[in-house]
Parts: sequence; structure tokens; C-alpha cells
Amino acid sequence: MNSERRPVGIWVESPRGAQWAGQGMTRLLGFIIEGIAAAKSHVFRIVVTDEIRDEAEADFDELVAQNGVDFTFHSPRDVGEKVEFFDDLARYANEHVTVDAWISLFPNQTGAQLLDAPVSTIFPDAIGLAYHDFDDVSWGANGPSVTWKNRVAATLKTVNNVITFSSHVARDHVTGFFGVSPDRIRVIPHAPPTLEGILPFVRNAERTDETRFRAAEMLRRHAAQQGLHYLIDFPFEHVRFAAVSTQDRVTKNIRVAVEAIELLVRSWHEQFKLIMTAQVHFGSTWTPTPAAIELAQLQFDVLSMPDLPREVHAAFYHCAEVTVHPSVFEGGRGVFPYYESISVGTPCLMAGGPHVAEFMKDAPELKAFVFDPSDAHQLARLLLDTSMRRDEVTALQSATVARLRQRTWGDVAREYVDAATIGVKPLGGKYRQFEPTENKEQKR
Amino acid sequence: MAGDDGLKIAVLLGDTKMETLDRARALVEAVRSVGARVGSIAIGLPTADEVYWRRSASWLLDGLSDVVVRRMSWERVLAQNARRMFAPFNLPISLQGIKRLTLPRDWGTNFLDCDQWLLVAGPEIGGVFPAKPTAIFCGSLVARRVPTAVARSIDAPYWEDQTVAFRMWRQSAVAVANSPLTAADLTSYAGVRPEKIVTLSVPLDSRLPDAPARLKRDRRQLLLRIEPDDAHALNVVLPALQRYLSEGGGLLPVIATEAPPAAFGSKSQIPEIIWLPEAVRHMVERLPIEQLVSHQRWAELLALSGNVWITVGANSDGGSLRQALRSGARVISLDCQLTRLASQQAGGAMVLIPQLTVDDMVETLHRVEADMGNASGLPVLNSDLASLRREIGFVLDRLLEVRL
Repeated sequence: MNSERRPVGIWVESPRGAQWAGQGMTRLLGFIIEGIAAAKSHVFRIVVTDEIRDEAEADFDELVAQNGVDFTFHSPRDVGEKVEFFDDLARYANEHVTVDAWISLFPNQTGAQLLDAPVSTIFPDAIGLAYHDFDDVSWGANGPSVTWKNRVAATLKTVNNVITFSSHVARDHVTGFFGVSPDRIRVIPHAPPTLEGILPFVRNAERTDETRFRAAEMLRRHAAQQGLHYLIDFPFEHVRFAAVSTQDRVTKNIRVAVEAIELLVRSWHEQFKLIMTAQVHFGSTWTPTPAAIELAQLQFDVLSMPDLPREVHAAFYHCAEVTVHPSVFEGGRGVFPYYESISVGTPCLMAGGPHVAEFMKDAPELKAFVFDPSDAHQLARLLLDTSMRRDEVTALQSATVARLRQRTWGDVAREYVDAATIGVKPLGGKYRQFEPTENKEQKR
Repeated sequence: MAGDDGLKIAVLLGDTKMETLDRARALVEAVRSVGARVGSIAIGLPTADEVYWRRSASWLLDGLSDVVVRRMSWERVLAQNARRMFAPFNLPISLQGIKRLTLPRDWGTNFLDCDQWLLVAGPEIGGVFPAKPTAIFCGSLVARRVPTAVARSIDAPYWEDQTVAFRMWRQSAVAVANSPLTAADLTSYAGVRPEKIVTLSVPLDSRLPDAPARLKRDRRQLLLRIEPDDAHALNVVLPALQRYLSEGGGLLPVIATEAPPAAFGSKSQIPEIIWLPEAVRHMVERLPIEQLVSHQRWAELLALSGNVWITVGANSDGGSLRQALRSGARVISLDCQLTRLASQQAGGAMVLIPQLTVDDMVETLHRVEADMGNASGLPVLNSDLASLRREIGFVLDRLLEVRL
């Protein structure tokens, strides 16, 4: 361990059965740790449950950062303890993990209220409050949305700073829904992600017949391994397809992309497919996407390739004609698929939303690639137009990303540390004031 | 491999529809024109109603020598069994995920006596095990544009057959497309690599028999070439016709179909007919319906009609459209890539309906009626037979390179 580095705690409440690898927030944490590894200023002490510890540690062993130097993992088994509740986990952390301040990974982690050192919390978004789930359970008196809102409200009263990834979440969600004063909110945008270097055969994000063929070979291998019957032997490199890289959630709006493909193929007799990383669960009612595919019987022009390993995911973008991000909301500023896609030579179209409106202030030249999230005709036309001018669009979008990339994950990591440590007041003793019986609902 | 008598070629049909027969007949003629390296041809014609089968076989053979027609059925076998049946050939093909494959059966040699198999078939027969070097001659991939023409839902067995067919097409030596649109679909939809695709410079079209000279064309007659399925957009075409007639339209519609006339009648069980509005169904029941039981009858109807409405538009490879154009009738069809091209080749003589809407169709019919004086005789389209011969020769040569 490096004694010269000041320790900052990371507080993670993983519910039983939760996954670590590949999840949005744990990926973000990985980027921040890689950032601090580059800055060499602090060490992150990550407190987790024993259950998730091994998976988490194995995942982070792949980071460009050193376990024991840039980050350390802590869980009750280190001291021979077993804990059942997150308040017990907080007690363990207070007694055995020394830090200057804590960063809580989510605002609904109520165990964070019990930590002795100052706590700041990350607030990705309050998507459930802005984009409602209409089922009977969600907004019942004790439904998950109500419970989430109550927990977040309680936590936000006790933390020092609130960290968001964007101004629109700070304004519309943290202040808008919870009344938190703007001076307690730190907006820390992500550094642009990149897939550069993941495909060794791609140089300078340039796509050639050869690189496309090699990327297609990776996709074919993956299809064969996964038993994706139709895509085994599929000539991806010769087929014009739009890539959609996202999970299918309530705000992801994949349906508009499906409808655009239907227009292109059925009405305009164009050659265009859509391949998405989201799983398609036919019969689901929480998303309109499967029904849109099913009703139109578009299952051979709108396809799913889920669970892509990192390098295959990069190949997927590289092989695509264009990437589409149809989401109506993201908690960050802009969209990750734009950065990822253009970093391997594929331009991106994005649906308008608060995240994109904020992004356009940094990159107004990209407005031509933004579409109305409910306008399939506009998206279809934009797909054709982008395809016809692919090289020109790629060059333009690449120039933008080159400018925006000046922000690094080292910058981001330093800002997180500052948000957690500068000008905060210790909450000390909070744990002892807390009534444990109130917290039994946290049982995992 | 070819003996002294030249190659023995099997031309295997997926079904007995007129367009399939047309393509097969044209293919047989093109193969025969290639020259001495072709010895004989065996046509596999799926069994059907006996009278119809005999008539079709007779039409396929008419005027040709060294050609036989065999009764054939497509049989499903377990994929691994098929591999074991042909194990000595050690075919380098992937059957991953494929449960069943299709083989032609004629209760004799099952076409294994032939050197090459030319499949004139769509994906509905499933994946054919390539026990011989195989080329695919597919028509338009209608399932991509109008899936309800082939399947009611994504759970229909058709889709599995199609996937298996596509997997086998990708592994065939060559796939032949009748049009650039089909060639593009073969790659983008069926997943066949472009280098395996031959796009014919002129479509495989067969000539219709001559109609008797005594037949007189009625300029008011409107021949509707339709089938009771979604590829023909009946839910738009027939309401448009009903409205046109109710507005006093003077064209005289006649339905020409391969389906039994009862398919359009009051007792029809076909959803596309049942779902029509009552007034439209009533109109259809009163229209004269001609069942196309032979190419001769189709030729006669074309000769009798001043106007022919080809409703299938882009959802076919245009065989009946080109036959109608050659007949000298005025041809009406939806404006799309395929019909626009055909219209250009025919000197712009076609009447194109701008959009697939009732309004556009009704307006077009009124326009045709108002301008009946200008029906034109059209040039023969399929003139570049030398190119066709060269392209088919290339396909046969490609198959000769396949080692089993």
C-alpha cells in the first residue's frame, strides 16, 4: 500500500444476486480508478459485501491500475466478520477502513448515512421519477419507485455533496425532484470513452475492406459460439447495418429505430438492417421493441447480438454502416455510443433529449446528426443520407471527438476526489444516532 | 462429372406456380443454348393435381429434345442423416444448428444421376442438402417485403425453413438473381456473399404461346392479375377498384388468378378476402374470375385485354409484368424500382401508380380510362440472349469447379 496517497472510500451496497462486471456504474468506477492510477494522488478503498468481493476484485484486476496501490478492496471477511445488513457493513467500515471521505456509488444507498467520515454521493439520474413505470406495483404506496424516492430523499439530507454527470440531471432531477441546493451539487461529466486500440488491426479509426472483413470474422465467430443460427456465416462486411448498442429499457426508445428499418426495407426497398446488443424478449410488455419487431415480422432485418465481449463489441461498431442511439434520456452529457463508435471509424446518429441538448453546447456541429426521437421517417432519411456521405460524416464527427477528448479520466478522478474531500464537514457520530430497526427493510 | 455425352443437368422446381414454371422453362432453354458440354436435362416438377401436372410438364417440354420431366417431391430428412447418406463426398459444409434438410425424391435415382442441380426455388422448401454441385435460382424474396404473404407470425414454421434455406444458399456454389434488387436482397437478407451471386443481365423469362389471331382486344377490359395473398395488396387494390366502379368507372374488370375462383367467393376462408369490407366482397363476387390453368389461357386473356393491372408490384421478380408488357396491353402497376425499370425498358409506356393508396389507385384508373386511345404495342424486352447464354455458361462452369 502507498502511504503517501490519501485514502478515499468508495461505498457500494450490492444487493444479493447483483452483478458487478459490465454494469454501468462499476464500469464508471473502473474508469475513475484508472484515472487516479494515472494521477497517482489518492488510493480508493472500496468497501463491498463478501458475496460480490471476488467477482469485483477479478473484474478490477483487468484495469490499468494496481490492486493494493491505486485501489484496495475491503469486506467483513478480512476481519473474520459476517454481516447481514448494510448498516452492519457501515459499522465494519467505520471500524476497519480509514478514509478521508466517502463516495457512495448510488444515492439510494442508505447505509452511507451511517458512515463516520464525510460522504458525498453519486447521483446518476432519477429516471424512474421522470419516465414513469405505469404498472400497479411500481407506484403503489410501498412500491419500488416510492421506496427509492424516499430513500434517496433521506440520504440526500445527510450527505455533503451530490455528484452528477450532467447539468440537466443536477437541475431537473437533484434540484427538481429533491430540492437540493445547487451549491451542494458537483457536475462532473465523464471523459469521452474510446475503443481505440481494442482492435489491433484498426489504425487511426480507419475502415478498409480488410479491417471490415476481420471485424466481420469476429462477429461470425461470436454468432457461431452463441448459436445465433441466422448469423452464422453471415457476410456482415457486405451488409449495410445500423448498430444500436444499449440495453432495452424504458427510455431507450429502440422502437423508433425498428420503425425506421421497416420503412427503409418495406416501403423504400432499401438495403438496411439493424443489429442491436439488447436482448429481445418477445412477449415482454415493459418495452415496445419486441412487439414492434414481432408485428412487422422484421426478425431477420432487426436482430439481436447480446453479450458481446469487449473486442467483439468494438468489431460490431467497426463493421456497422452507422450507429444509432435512439434513447430519449441519458444521465450524462451526450451519448457513450457516439464516442465509442467514432473511435473505431463509424459515425453515430442520436435522438434528441436533455443529454443531447447539453452535449450540443459543446459540439453544435453535430446537430445535423440529431433526430426527433419519435420521427422514424426522419431517422430513415438520416440513415440513408449518412450512409451516402459516410466518409465525410465520419471525418466531421472524428474532428469533434478529437477536440472533446482533451478531458481525461485523470481529470475526472481528481474532480471526484475534490468533490468528496474539499470543504466537506465530517458527519461523525451519525451511526450512533441512527435507529437500526428502521433499516431492517434493507435486508438483502 | 460429365461423361462423353456431356453434362446431365437437373432443374429442380420448388413449386408449380406459373412464375416458377416460366423461370424453369427459360432456364432450360438457356442451359440448352450453352452448347455441347450440356448433354441432357432432367426437370424435377413437384407433384400436383394430375391434370395440371401433365399440362405443366407438357408446356415445359414443348419443342425441346433431350429434356425429361420427372415427378418429384421434396422430402425432409434429419441433417445429420443427410450427411451420413452422402458421407463419401465429405462435403465441407457447416450444419451447425440445422435440424432438418430437404432432398429431392423421384422414387428412382433421386437426381443423383445428374451432374449438377439447378434449384428454381424459394426458401419455403427449406435448405436443400447439396448432394450435387448446386446453384440457386431464386425469385424475389417476398418474405422480406411482405412477410404476411408467407407467414402469419414470427412463430410460423416458415421462418425456420427460411433460415435453414439461407444457411445452405450461403454454402452453395452460386446463387443467381433475376434482378439487381433480388441480388441485393440475397446478400443483405439471405446472407449470400456477393462474390457468389450472378445477376442476370436479362431476366429468365419465358415466352407465352401465341394467342389465336381471331381474338379481339377490348380496350375497356381491365385484367387484374391477382392472387389472394398479401403480396398483391388486396386490402388496397380491391377497395380501390370498388370505389372506382362506384364512381361510375367504365373499365371492365376481370380477375385472372391461379387460385380457384372460390377463393374470392362468399365462402372463401382466406383471411385477405374475409377481412375485406362487405361492399368490396360483394363487388368481387360479381366480377368475372378466370383461373389461370395454363399459359395458353394467360396468353389469351392478355390478348383480349386493353389494360392489365399487375398488383404484385415489387413483390415478384416481374415475370408476369414483362409478359403483360410484351402482349401489347397497357400495363398498370405500383411505382417501384422494378416497375420503373421495366417501364423505361418499354419506352415509358407503363402507367405507374404513385403510392400504394386507394386514392392513388382510383385516380390512376380514371386516368387510364380517360386516355384509352393510347394503349401501345411494346418492344420485346428479352432480347440479349447472348448475355444470358454467357452468364448461364459461367454458372455451369462454376459448378464444375466444385469437388465433391
